Amino acid sequence: MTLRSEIKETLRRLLKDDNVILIGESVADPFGGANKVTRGLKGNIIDMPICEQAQVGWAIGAAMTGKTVILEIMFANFLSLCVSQLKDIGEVLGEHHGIKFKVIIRAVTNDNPLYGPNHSGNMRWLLEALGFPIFYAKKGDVDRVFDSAIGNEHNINLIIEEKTNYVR
Amino acid sequence: MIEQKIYLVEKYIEREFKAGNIPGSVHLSIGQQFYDAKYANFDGWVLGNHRSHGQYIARTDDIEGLLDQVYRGMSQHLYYSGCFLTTGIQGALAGVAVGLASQGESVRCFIGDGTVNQGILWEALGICEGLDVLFIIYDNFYSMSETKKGWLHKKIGFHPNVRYISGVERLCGHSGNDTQAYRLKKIISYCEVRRDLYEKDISKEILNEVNQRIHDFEIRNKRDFTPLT
Repeated sequence: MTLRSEIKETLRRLLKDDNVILIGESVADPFGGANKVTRGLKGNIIDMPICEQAQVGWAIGAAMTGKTVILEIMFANFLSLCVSQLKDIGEVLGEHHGIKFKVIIRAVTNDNPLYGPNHSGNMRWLLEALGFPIFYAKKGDVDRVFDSAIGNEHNINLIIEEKTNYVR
Repeated sequence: MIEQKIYLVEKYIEREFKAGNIPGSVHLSIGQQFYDAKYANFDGWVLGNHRSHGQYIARTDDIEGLLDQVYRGMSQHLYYSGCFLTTGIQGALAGVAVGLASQGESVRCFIGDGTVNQGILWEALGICEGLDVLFIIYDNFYSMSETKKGWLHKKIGFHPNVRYISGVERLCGHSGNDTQAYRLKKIISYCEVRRDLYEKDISKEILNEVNQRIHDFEIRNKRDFTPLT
């Protein structure tokens, strides 16, 4: 089973719960996401247009009603567009108002530099600066990673998926 | 009446701010209290901005809670569990508004005219079709860059999920440092001139209620209290 398949099966299990929502750009069938991780999945899956800031805001708002929202960001580079929503809203809601919610952001890094400067890199500078819990999806460990991210006390968690590992 | 309570509480906050008793900044709702009373007084979520004291009172009637947060420097970051939230980042709650509405909540999101250029607002407008979310834009002709009367309606007023409120009286008090103090004085002077429009209907009953509630809050927090008159 490849990493991609393993992530898909974990998401399939999680999506059996009606309180779990998966959102992202073209994540639903037939496209199944830019990396085809979510193709064929059933459940609360919502396609979003290109609006990363609003996707994060949407995720926070929906999660405030008790849902667990899993947001796919197709390249971790695009997280830079979301910093204000993550820090000024997401973090503030938890730290200053004590609001509990659960948002999991699946962000894809890419070790292959041939994708160009905006679609490659490990984005370590940004991930560390954001300061949220970071999990790395590795083959054989995906279930534990997702369950840990969902089960911890942090409102926002990042799960990093390395694109070049999807086929391994 | 709600707008009278808003006016009185805001006058009290203005006085306290000018006396140096409130940290940070405050942005007063005097001049928009009628609209706050009309649009924020409903059963769903109200998401506001830096100038949302009036909306807080209209939605929650929690004068004591407002004062508690303002005195702690949280004037732009108000929260009331389950129904009210603000931020000083312009437009930043637009996406949250749509997210709440996507799960069945009824939402009103208040925005100022200067915020209309923010990208997050347009992103949120693009994904809110069919949801119970209303963006209410107050145009008081007083944004970071001067706006021309009427331009805002053409820019965004056409959108089906936007309620455009034009002509909010240009009386909103603006706190600030020395460079902005002259604006505050000018606006307060204008407020004083137009005071008859706002005070003539303030009943003694409401004045007494507000004074009593502020008095109780101040005594509990060990401050000297001067009644509003």
